[in-house]
Amino acid sequence: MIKTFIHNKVAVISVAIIAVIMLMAIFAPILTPYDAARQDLLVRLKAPGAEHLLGTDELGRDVFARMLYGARISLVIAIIPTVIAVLIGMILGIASAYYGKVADLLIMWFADVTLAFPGMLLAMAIMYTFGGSFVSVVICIVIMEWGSIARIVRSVTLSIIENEYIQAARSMGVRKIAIVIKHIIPNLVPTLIVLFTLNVPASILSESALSFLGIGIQPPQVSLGLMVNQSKTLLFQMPWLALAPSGMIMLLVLTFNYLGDALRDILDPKSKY
Amino acid sequence: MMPVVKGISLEIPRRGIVGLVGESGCGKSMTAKSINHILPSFAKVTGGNMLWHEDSGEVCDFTLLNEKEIRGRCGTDVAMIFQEPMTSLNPMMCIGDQIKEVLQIHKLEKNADRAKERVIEMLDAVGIAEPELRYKAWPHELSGGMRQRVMIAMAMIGSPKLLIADEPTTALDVTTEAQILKLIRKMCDEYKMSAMVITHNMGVVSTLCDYVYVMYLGNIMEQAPTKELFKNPMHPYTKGLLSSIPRIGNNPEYLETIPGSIPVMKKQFKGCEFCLRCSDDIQKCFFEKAELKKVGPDHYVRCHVAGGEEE
Amino acid sequence: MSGFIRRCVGVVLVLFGVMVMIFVVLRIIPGNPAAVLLNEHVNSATIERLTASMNLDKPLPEQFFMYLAGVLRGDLGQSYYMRQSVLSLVLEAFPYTLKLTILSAVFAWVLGIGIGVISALHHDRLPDYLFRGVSLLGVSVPVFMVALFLQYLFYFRFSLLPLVYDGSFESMILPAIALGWNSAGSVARLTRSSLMEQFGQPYLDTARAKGLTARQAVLTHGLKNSMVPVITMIAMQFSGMLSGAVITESVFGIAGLGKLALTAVQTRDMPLLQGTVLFSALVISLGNIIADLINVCLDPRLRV
Repeated sequence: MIKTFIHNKVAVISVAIIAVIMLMAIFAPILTPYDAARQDLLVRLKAPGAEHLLGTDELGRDVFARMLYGARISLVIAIIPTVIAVLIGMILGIASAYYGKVADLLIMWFADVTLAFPGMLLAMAIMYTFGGSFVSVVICIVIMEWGSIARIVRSVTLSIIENEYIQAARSMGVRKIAIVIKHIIPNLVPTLIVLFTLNVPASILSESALSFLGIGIQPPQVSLGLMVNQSKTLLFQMPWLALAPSGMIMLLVLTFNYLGDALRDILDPKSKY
Repeated sequence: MMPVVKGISLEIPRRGIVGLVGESGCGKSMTAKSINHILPSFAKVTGGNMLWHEDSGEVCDFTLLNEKEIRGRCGTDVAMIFQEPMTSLNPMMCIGDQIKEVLQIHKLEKNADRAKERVIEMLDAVGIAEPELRYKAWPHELSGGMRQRVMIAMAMIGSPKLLIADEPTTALDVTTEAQILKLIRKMCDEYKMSAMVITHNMGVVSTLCDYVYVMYLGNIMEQAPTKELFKNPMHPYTKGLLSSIPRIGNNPEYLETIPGSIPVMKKQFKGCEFCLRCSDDIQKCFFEKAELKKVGPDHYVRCHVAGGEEE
Repeated sequence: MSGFIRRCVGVVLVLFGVMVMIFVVLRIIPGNPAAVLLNEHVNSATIERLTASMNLDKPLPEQFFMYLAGVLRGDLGQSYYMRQSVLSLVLEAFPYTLKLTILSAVFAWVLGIGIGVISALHHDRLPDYLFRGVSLLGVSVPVFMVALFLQYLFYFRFSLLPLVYDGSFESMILPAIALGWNSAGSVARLTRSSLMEQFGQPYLDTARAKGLTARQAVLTHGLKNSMVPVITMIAMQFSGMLSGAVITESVFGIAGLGKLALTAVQTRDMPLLQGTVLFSALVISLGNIIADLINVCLDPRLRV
């Protein structure tokens, strides 16, 4: 499997790009002398140049530094809620497939309910209650994503428990929970990896959309979507202010999507989701 | 590129039914699909001729036709029925419309009502009860035998001169098989049509065909009129095929089989393709391919051993 | 038919769940919601009046059933901020969103299916690589980025189209493209894979044996067979489109549902937000039912 991975050029390149961006985000303080939040009104709205790599915004903040720090939050917010959503989706998906009709009906009803909301409107309701903050964005993304993950896990689990060896284990009296841990979860791992990789870009997009609307990450924190939001008034005069963060979002989403596609081909060639 | 079928020469006489027999994977279907150019994209015809003799006496080489020209002949000159009547019908189109499509493609019937009538007549002719009602039926609503009848109707409606039947009864049960074979025979007689029947089933050959080609790994091993072949098989492969038919009456300890299975040919092989599984191979078989030689009237065999040693 | 009824019952149950959920989410605010709702500066009498008018002083289940009863009568409550019935506000805003989504859906389907088909027909050759790149790019750009880019290009650079929505058809073009862009990408990807799945199918051989060229066979028989998953996905995307509409409407200043919801959040107008969300959930559910019906018309095997 690792071998097929290394031979898959798309997968290797995507991982490389993601790794570089992650390292840049982690080592932002080393890569740039500027602080994302420090305002310097003497150097407002500078065009990209040697001193300020990507120029400065209307408050004189260095755009490159803001982009790196923004990518930090965007990546963290892409990964934490996706992990939580995959875990919840896995547990409820397995439960739905493996533990009787009532659980199945209830869980799938609940999934349908969350899927029936337009994600952005649900997010707004959550923002209304909890206010725009890191935690609310995480809650939003988890609620938006767990439903479809649970649905897919459910259908994959159903096809796993069709297998004779699981029936055999059942008939030998192995306890359900043991079967889940020993047989079902290991078989789900490829699916979960692919689901994770494909939901990370969705999370990045959701976060950036919320922050763009001004109901996600709040200043003085910085995120990529927020940067676009703050730059849109100057869109026509200084397009690079919007271009830098949106380019970063696009690069991240695109590479994660490519990686997800490649992983799906490698791990789970028959799947269609 | 690996050659799948090579050096074969088939002749299908007017109004004759010719059988092409062999194990799965020996190139029967490829041969058939090359005639009307529906080979899968990974395969192509690289040489040879396929000569079509018109009633007028003109000769047309099918290998030289372009996509447009060959499509003009499909359905009206050459029609085909397939092995899997379920998947060979478009599941999202009612059967009547699928049959009618042939008339539309070749503009055989411009009047829509008349076209529908002709389809219904054809459904009736292939033995589908209540054809008016069945016109609107969906493929999944029909049984396997019915679907194959629909396929036959679809093939016949353009009154083709040649019918290619690729394993027409493999997916069917024995009773239905007999009915379908009878129907194909009847259609050939009524429409003065030739047919090429591809099968691995010697029973199908004996009930349907006038003349048989036995194919192994892309080569013709033996060819003879059906009766002659069954009475007097020469090639060890043909003998093997015939002796592996279970018969009611004599109860042997076990069913005869041909030892081994079709080898995977990675490289061109100089000798006789069958020598690995042959019971009476001689050393020559490994190094030299046998030529097709005449052993009786219309009876040819490709073997070093059978039919007397060559000079 | 019984399947259809079961589907409708399912939708009603889901909508009930949506109501419960939105109701709970909006009311787990600590403290008196009325006080949060209004600014801190109002006096206690105002808070009390609002509390009474929205039944906020009653226990939660009772509040819920009063709300449910109202919804069943077609009463979504009063917008606190706009001082109008929520239903009339929603119905006023909905046509804009509907126009926007339909236009962008048409854009997405035409472009997406077109690109998907071309990609599949030329699979693993240059046009395919090109279009696959484009469609992955399509699903990877954020809606607001497309929107801003289109504004920059078509308004600022070439002054071909208006910057914001002004009621004219031209001013709806950019929003529709911005919103449809993502869907076009995913429709293209699914169309391609779904159509390519048909390629080995024997019925295509049959069609060619009848006299259709390979391309004709794929475009008539194959395309129809490949559309069921695409239509299902389009219906699922409808919900994503309403999400995107929030952003598109805010960038282009369209007074649709998304804008209404955003205003509701910004003005802390709970009844309005609640009503908007509920209404969009209803629209999405109806969209899913319509897609089911289209698929049943298309694929006879789904008729049980």
